[in-house]
Amino acid sequence: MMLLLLSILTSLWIGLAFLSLFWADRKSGYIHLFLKCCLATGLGFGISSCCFFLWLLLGVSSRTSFAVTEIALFAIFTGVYFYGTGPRNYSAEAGLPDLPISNPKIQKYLAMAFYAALVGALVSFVLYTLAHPHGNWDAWTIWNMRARFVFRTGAQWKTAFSPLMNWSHTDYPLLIPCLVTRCWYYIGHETVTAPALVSGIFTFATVGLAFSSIAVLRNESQGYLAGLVLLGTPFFIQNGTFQYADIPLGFFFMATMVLFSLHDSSSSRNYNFLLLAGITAGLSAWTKNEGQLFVVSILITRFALILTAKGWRTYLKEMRFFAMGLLPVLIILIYFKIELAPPNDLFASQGFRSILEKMIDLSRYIKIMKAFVRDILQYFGHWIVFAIYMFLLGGRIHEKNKPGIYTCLLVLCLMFAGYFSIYVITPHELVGHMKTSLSRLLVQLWPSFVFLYFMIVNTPERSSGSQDNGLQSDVEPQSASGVLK
Amino acid sequence: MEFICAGTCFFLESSMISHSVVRRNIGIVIIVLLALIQSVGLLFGGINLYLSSTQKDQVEAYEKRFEGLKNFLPSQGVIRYITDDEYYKKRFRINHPTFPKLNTVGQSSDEWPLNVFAVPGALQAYLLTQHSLAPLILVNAIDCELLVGDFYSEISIPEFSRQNHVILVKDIGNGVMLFRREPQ
Repeated sequence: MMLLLLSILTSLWIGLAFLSLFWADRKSGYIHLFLKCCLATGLGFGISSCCFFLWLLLGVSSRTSFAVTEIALFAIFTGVYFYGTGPRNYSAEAGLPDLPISNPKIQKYLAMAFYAALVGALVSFVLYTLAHPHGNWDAWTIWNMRARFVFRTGAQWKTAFSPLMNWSHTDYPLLIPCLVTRCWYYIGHETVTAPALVSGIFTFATVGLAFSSIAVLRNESQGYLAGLVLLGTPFFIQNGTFQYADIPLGFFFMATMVLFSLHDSSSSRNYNFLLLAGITAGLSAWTKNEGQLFVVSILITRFALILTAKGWRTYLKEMRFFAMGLLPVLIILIYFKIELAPPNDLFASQGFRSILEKMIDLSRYIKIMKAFVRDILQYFGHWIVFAIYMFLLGGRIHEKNKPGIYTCLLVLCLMFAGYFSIYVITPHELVGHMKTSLSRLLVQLWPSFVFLYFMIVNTPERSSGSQDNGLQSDVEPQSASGVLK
Repeated sequence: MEFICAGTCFFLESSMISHSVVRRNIGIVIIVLLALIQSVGLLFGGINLYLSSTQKDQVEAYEKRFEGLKNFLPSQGVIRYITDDEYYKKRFRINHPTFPKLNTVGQSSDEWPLNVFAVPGALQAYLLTQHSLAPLILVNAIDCELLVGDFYSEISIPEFSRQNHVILVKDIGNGVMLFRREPQ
């Protein structure tokens, strides 16, 4: 158990050290630090997964050598952070707004509710995991089985991608399998605790990210509400216990949206948040094939938004930094897709004519629409109260937050459209395909949707007219930072 | 007059603020209550699931079922798998040179079997065995040296051996058997 925790902590420290290179710790607020820790969780896991894959490619068989490599990586990042001059000067945090003030009374009650829900969710997570330690169907037919193949075959790890195993979706990217195998390498044997722990950390890091990002960009009360909504979505927590890749994917989707929002609301002219957003977007593509659609959606959205609002120069500069983060992960993914992965079953098994026939079949559109409505109501239907909440508290988009919010909104729309289109052309039996996958696609987008909603809806303090307890509430980033104009 | 106007304005402003505070509080209560109710529901669901899962997890049960077989199997390679699970019999077809596009589970890239996604239990026996015996790859091809039989009902071993041209190597019990292809 200690070695397992060490493997996880090594990964998290690598993430934090790497993140600190681009986001120096100049603000003292614990929320900023907590936000960094949540982002570092995903980054650390992503970096470890990519390193492990490269290490497999290099064919080094010693387990110790990988641990040493990772510790060296951590030492390098830390060394550059403390002794390097470059990255700190480009810290992204300089332009971030100060934390807006919340009403202490509201914040106290919301914090109590949040922690109560958090304890409930943690206990539920443990109970569900104890009942099904191997996770659900896809965990042991795809993700953990791939990890098992890699771990048990050693130097022959490419056996995992035998054409005879195509039914196991061997074209799916390897963030989760590599991460799980990496943990097993650290401890020297297989254990069901490793994938469960990885899944749990991703689940609760997503909640933490929702809370801390909204707390930084709006205020703390609003952050607690966002966290509460995720904790109060049973399907989200349950899906975490399934040990699927959908929750990690949802984490990377939201992390990318958060980093874009931080960039857009920041006054500084550096682009470090975009570099980090490039990495998280790349890691989403390294987690699941849907991540590739996400990367394309981001590129289209930023093209449409920034080009029209700020012109070519800004767009190209933004994309340069985004690409700097994205490309290293993308190269690994492209190598995997070309060298190891078979063609995707959705496209390889049908010709253009078959796709065209499906596209002009109106009944498919109706079936898909019905399934979308049914699954949204079934798994997230109780959050229909979002409409009532918005009606009661109102909504407002700060000028400074606009690009970030529009990015999030447009990307979500494109993702929905993309998922819808995939179902239109799927070669599989449509109803069955949707029955087994649609709910998981929706849960991938749910954290980003919650983030978007709480970026728009008024904070409790603002809705009561700011005079509540005489506190300045949900301060505009420009006025809050005091250094802008 | 000015005093009355100021008083009215103050009254209106105060009533608007108190009105918005009420709206805010109602909104917060709705969100918080709903989240807590859902959390409690999830918690009770978790407790019930945990208490009712006294039997071994199905994946663990399969691990146990095939544990004794591993000593007789190579560490890697491709072996044949046959079960009398009725879903399996419907789904799996023997790979044939004339149908090179058929993959392990008999799914053709030209003709996907209907409802293969709709009945998750259809491939359960095979998938759980594959998970247990990984990194061995289980297929339904006749040219494999070893055959793993996974039977849930009584079978006649001589008849099965004759039909499939195999010889029994080991009967592990619980319906799990290892066969070897007859020398040609």
